[in-house]
Amino acid sequence: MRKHLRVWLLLVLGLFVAGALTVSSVQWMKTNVSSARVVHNSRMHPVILVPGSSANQERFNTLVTLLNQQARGHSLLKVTVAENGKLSLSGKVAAGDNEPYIVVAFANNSDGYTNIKRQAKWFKTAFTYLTGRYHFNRFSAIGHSNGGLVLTLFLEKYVDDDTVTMNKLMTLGSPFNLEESSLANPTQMYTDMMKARTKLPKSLDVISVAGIENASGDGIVPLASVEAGRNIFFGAVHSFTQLTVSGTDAQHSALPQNQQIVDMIKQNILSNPGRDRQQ
Amino acid sequence: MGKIGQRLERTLTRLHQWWRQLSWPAALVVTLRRLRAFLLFAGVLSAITASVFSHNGFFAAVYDLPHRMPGWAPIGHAFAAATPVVWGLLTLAIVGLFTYEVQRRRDIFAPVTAIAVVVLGSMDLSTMRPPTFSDFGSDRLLVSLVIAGLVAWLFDRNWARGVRPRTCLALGATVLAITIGATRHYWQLAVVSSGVITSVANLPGPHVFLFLLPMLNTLLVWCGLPSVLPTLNRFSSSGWSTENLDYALSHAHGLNLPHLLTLMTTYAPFANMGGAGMTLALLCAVVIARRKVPSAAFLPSLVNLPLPALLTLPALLDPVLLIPAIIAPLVVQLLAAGALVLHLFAANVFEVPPTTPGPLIALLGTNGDWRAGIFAVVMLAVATLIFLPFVRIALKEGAAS
Repeated sequence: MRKHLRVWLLLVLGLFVAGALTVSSVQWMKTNVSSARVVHNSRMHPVILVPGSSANQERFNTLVTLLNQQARGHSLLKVTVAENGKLSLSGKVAAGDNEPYIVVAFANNSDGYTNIKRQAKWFKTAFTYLTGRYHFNRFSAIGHSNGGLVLTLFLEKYVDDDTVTMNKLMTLGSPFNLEESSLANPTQMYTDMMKARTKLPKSLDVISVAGIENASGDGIVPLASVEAGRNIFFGAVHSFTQLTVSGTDAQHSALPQNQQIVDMIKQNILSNPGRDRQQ
Repeated sequence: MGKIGQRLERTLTRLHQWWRQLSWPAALVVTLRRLRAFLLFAGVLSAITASVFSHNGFFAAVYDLPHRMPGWAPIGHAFAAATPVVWGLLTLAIVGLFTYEVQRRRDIFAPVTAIAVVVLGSMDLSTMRPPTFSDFGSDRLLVSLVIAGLVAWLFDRNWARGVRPRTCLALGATVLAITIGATRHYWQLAVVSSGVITSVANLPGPHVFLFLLPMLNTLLVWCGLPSVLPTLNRFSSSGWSTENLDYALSHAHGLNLPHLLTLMTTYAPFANMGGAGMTLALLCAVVIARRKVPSAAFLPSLVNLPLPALLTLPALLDPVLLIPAIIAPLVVQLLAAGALVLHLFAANVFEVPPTTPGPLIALLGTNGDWRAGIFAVVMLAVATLIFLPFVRIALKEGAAS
């Protein structure tokens, strides 16, 4: 009689444990599958633009207008990250737009390596929000001036999982050796970037564009400092292309509006340059 | 039918009697019974390490233990480090005790020599790497037992009496072991890669390999040899499974999968409950036949680790229990294939942790299709019924304790 009681107790306990286990594991599986479905079915491939020092979220307005000139174009979302990591958003990602432009700017847009490192961290905050909000798993990026440095530091320091991939990176007049005009004087930032270059994504295609307004560079950034990017990227990523533009609008601040660069972006960065042209 | 059944039972009983009377199997049964408590401990340790303290473990994943359980990582490291050491020591203990049991003279020198030969034979002299405890793992059990048996046989010879001949014998065996270790790099090439076999199983065609591969796998595991489908195998890593997953993620229903019949859809959720040979069904049959509460051996089988059950019953190398271990998964796999063709439930396409308790794999792998879950429970019952008469014969002969 006692043995029977023990068997029944064990049976009831076993059924209870099995039931609880089944309910919690099915719930866990459904959550997993549902988030896997969202990421799998996300066809969004945004282009993230990061301005340089002293510039705000309006820095790429002209570039986006020029890119969208021939069509109704892609939507534009602007994000500014405050020093405490708080995000301010304006604009929106239009429904059905698979290739929106997202500008990520920083409230503290001062120059200097220390601040660039902080901006890379703030960019990570914005990026985490964006991937969570829009569920994309691939993107391309354009960085003007220090914006290119922020993106490079972000890739080297903060991209530690393979769930989101940066396909293409275009840097416009980005000074990889800061204001130094010779690699004989490597800056701390350049040395750090060289050390961590192995962490750059192997599948990334990089285009570094330099402006030539005078013999030494684009008027602000020395040409040698832009070209220092070759040492960081070449061999560490899938492909590295170095381009120079000269003539009208080759001055450092004018690079994002330079027609040659706009054409390059259409050709190399956008997968669907005029998505609504036929509409 | 009744007469055929009786005749079959008599034949199997005779087969079991004959097997039990052989000196090596008898010694193996005695050895494994003596070490039963240690084997149960090692089995439970493996089960906890794999399911609780592994990132891909069932309990770790479902209850998010890496983030919720304080000290999960250091405790997990301790478990992961202890598991191969315990199994390695157990294998050496099995070798030593088996040598002692199988030889007639009960010479203590023989087990020591056998252990030395197994240890030295596991050394990779081509890279000068000393053996680690994982080198004496369960998949080399048969080889270790054969070595132990040969050493015992040599020590039983008349000319092996006296100190000097025994020393020469031990030295000779040691030299042989070192030779095995030095050349293992070459003879291991003869072992067909499990990856190649798994790819063959995924070839298009009449799906012959789909059913042959698990049979071969059970045979190898039952014999204590390296298996072709690793224990806790990730069936989702094959190309066909990836294509199926891709389809299932982009479609609300999974009815028109590109590859309906694969190891992941037919074998993993239904015929692999308890690991190779459906040891979970074997244990259920033992519980029914003995009318006793399940033992600690259930825990490893629940998380698809078959070896502890095979060693503690003991069923390792048992020819009578090998028959249902091969037949039951095959029958279940064929029934599952038929049910999938008839679209009775969704196919298993989503990856689940390899330590997911058997009957839950189908339910979770189909993203909660309760029909698949019920089918899995029915298949466990079918497999248990197939095992039951064979288990009764084995119990009658006292093989399974």
